[in-house]
Amino acid sequence: MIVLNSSDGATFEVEESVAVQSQTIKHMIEDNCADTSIPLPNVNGVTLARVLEYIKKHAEAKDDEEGLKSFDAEFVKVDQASLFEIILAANYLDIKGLLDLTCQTVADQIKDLTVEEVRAIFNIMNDFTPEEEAKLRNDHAWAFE
Amino acid sequence: MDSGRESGERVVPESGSGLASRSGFPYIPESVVIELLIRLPMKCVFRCKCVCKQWRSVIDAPSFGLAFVSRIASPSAQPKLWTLLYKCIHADEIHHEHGFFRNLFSNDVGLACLTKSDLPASAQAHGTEAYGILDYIIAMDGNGLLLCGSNCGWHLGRYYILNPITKQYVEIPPSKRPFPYCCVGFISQMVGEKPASSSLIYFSSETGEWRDIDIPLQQVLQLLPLRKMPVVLKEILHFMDRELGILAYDPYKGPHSCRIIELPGDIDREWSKRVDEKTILFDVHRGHLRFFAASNAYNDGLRISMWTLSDYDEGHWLLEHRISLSELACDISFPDSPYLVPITFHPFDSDTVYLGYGRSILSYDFLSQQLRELDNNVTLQTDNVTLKKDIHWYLVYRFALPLWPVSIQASTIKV
Repeated sequence: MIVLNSSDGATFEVEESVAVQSQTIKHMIEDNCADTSIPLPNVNGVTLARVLEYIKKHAEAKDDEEGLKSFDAEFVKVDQASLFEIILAANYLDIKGLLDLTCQTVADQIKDLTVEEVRAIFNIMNDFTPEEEAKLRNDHAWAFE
Repeated sequence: MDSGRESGERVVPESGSGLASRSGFPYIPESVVIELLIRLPMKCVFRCKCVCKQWRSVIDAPSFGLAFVSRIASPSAQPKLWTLLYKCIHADEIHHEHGFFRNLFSNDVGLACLTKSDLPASAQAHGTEAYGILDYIIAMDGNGLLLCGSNCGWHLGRYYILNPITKQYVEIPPSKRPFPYCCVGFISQMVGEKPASSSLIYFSSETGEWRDIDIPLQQVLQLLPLRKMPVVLKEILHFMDRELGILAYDPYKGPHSCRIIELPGDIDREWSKRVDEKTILFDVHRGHLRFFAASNAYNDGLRISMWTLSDYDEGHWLLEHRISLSELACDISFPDSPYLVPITFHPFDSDTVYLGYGRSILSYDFLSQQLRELDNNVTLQTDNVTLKKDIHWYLVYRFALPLWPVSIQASTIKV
């Protein structure tokens, strides 16, 4: 069993065979950094719990394609902020399947939005001048059709 | 990771360091932004260039286009997108060739049709009212760029390289010599090769200039303008001469590299020794030249034959397939037209060829020997006008749709 410590001090136990779905954890174990427990300062407790839920399910039901598909569909039905937290955790822990699932979900959510709506979701400030933005839109008019 | 910021606090992103955060909303590093963007549809990615400067520079980076394509173009991905573009004549404009190009197979990449009004205003201004830069498509290269010409002036054609998806175009400066009769095409570094009788004039995008080359050949060449382009294999240009066969010229090796490859000995030549450009097709498939002919063998009815040049150096052809249409079981009735016009091979399926017959496009499968008529009832709603579909077989081009639009390198070209 491997012990994982989240950023806010929560502790989780998980089987090594399950935990190594995370390449990051796998390398830490291989490099013998995992004597007592593995600290994960980039992931909070709530998110880590969700990530472990994913990798446990994918380990135990590995061959059940239908079951995994419906699990994945339910898994991503969370609010956007939580979804981003999971993306960041999957990125840090290097769990390819989870990163793919969550990024594709967000991509599908934003693909039909306007530029302004995308900025609002990511809370990005528009740093183009009105002239620069107009020119960009004009140069890529074909993409806005 | 500090995910708990004070509510209401906003942080302006530093360049290259990720996105701003708001209360409860995490800080997104650039690598994750890339993971999101490469999963969007192509047009959406380009719209996202307008979101902020950081996103624009992420998308503009060459590595991004590569990552985008390699994610889609995995071996298990769907077959690559391609289509046939053909030139339509607007029913109301009989006197002017108000030409534009229509996509035969509809698809999601979004090249529904290519009309003059798609081009930026500065491009439309080129040429006279009747003609414009899209009068004819001359050639298409592997990156999805088109070489287009305008009929501005009878001899001095003007040439443009056009990306039909992004509508970016670059004008090639006109050559100082006019030429009455030419064959034009692309090869990787050079653009716009034009042979006129026995000299070649070419334009190189590396130097931004035109150059002349004289080809020392004993015979006089009569090159056929087969869809106006030479076939390129191993960076060697292949033109079709009416009597001599295939003329192979390596522009990198110079004038002395010209070579004639004779056509297969068992071609049906009904009326004369000369090759009829309407009935032949030659192209590259899987690294070999293929020659296809549709002929009316001694009035025995139409028959089609296909050869592959199995030995390039020795010039040996292998007859792969030959069949008379009367032997095929098909639903198509063959009325009076004696001509079956080969258009192109299927780019990825070695057993299919597309043929024009009368007003229809047919597909023929060599393996199953099935001849099928393609459903091409085209009604294009432009201003509620239904177009009469009138396909000119010389103006049908096979076009591979690129997964990521290429930007034309034009720094050396000064018009």
